[in-house]
Amino acid sequence: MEWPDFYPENCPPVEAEPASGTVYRLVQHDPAQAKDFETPWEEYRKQFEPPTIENCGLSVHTDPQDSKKLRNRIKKFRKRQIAEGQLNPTLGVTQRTPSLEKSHHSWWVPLGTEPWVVFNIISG
Amino acid sequence: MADILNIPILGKLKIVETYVYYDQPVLFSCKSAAGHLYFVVAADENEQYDTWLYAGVSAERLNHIRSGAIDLHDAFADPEEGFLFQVIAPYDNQTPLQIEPVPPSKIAEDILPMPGERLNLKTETLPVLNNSEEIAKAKKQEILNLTLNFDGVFRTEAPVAILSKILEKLQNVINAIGAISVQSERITEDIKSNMQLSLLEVGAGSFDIRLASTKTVDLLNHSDFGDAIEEFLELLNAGSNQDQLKRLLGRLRLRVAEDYTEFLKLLGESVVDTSFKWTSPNPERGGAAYLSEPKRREVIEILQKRREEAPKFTITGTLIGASLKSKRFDLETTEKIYTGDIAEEAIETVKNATLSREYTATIQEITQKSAVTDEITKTEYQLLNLR
Repeated sequence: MEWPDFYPENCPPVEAEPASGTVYRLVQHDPAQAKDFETPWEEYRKQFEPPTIENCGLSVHTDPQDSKKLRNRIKKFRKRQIAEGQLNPTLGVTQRTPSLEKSHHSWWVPLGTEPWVVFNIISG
Repeated sequence: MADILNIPILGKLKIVETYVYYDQPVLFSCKSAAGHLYFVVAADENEQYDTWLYAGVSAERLNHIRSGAIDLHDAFADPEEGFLFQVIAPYDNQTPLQIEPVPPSKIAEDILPMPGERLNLKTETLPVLNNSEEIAKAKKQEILNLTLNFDGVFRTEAPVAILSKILEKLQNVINAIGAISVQSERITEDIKSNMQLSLLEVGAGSFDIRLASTKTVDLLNHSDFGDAIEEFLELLNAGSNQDQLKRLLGRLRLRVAEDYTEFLKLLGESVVDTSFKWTSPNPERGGAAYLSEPKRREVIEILQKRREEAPKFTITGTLIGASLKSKRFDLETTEKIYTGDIAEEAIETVKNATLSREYTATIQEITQKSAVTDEITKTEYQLLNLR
């Protein structure tokens, strides 16, 4: 599996497991687009800090209720839509990284994949 | 995207704690180089920029937000300083970040977290205590740290009523042990003064309180209070070891067993487990004990069983002395004078009793043994009933 060249050493972490199962991501576009799957480092922090394991991973929930709770807590996301995706090992690796939402996972996506194609909007 | 951790007016910020992470910290606390704390939330987004809200908070306020005492909505809708900083962070790197102080009334309700959303984190509400060794040495006082893990209390705050009772019962046990140390029949004012605990401070942890002997140690770094605490920790560390407990209580007065039982029972009403740490100005002295909930229950059972097993008998005689304050009685029969403690259940009847009158009393006999030889050194009586 080939990872983006800006990933730091030891990223993804060895503890991460092959991607599988259903996950939920808050996206800005319907249908989900490549822009919705940019790494946080590229999107937010590129100018200010080097890439880290944390900011190279995408946030997803395995429980859709957690995505709904997040929209209530953090209103930045209130207009985002919940997209459901079926992951498989070709789409990289994930690791449980609980935040206030217990089902929060970090997801590292390899080069040459189009993760947005496996996601469908399930709620507005 | 502008840097949300380097903001004009606020300066360079360091994240203290992230509460919600989604691609980046979106609800977090941070600290400026000058030490000012901010509670921050990602409030809005559009095609051009993100909007963030920064509420200046004191450490105490932040602890209340962490524990859930203040919900996320009110953390921003009712800021401590009466205003918030609204930060506009453009995605376009050429456009500078904007910051302006705004009253909460100017913040649109739909960008604030929903009312009722809380963090509910186990919170150390109070600052961590300073080093006990340093305090003991500097103040020349014996220090007793008590850590109470209250059942169901998230913040490190404790109900005052329960806490005051626990401290009162603890003081009773120390007083009773103190009386033994100086071989006194009664808990005199002098003993009370020597054994008096003072509240030094309350700190972080489960619920930490630091108590200190009111009296300082002597030139040799010795104190009667220290002797009593040493005995008390030995009692706690005996746990539910029957032999050890019986041996210890054998040489301690019945009153100690009674007060110790009361203390343990009271702890069980609200506290899951308890830790004790004694720090003395004398580096040779000190100790610690931990009392878990199951252990506490076992000890009470043993103590109660011990009491039930002690022989009881009835005597008729003249009440020649009674003190409700020190819970002591003297009853004279034709053969001897019975002196001892008044049990809790007999207090009411003694209240209405008259000195020099004849009564029939139910009495329990408790023997004390020497710690060294295990021989009976003293017999004590406890008044269970008076009629």
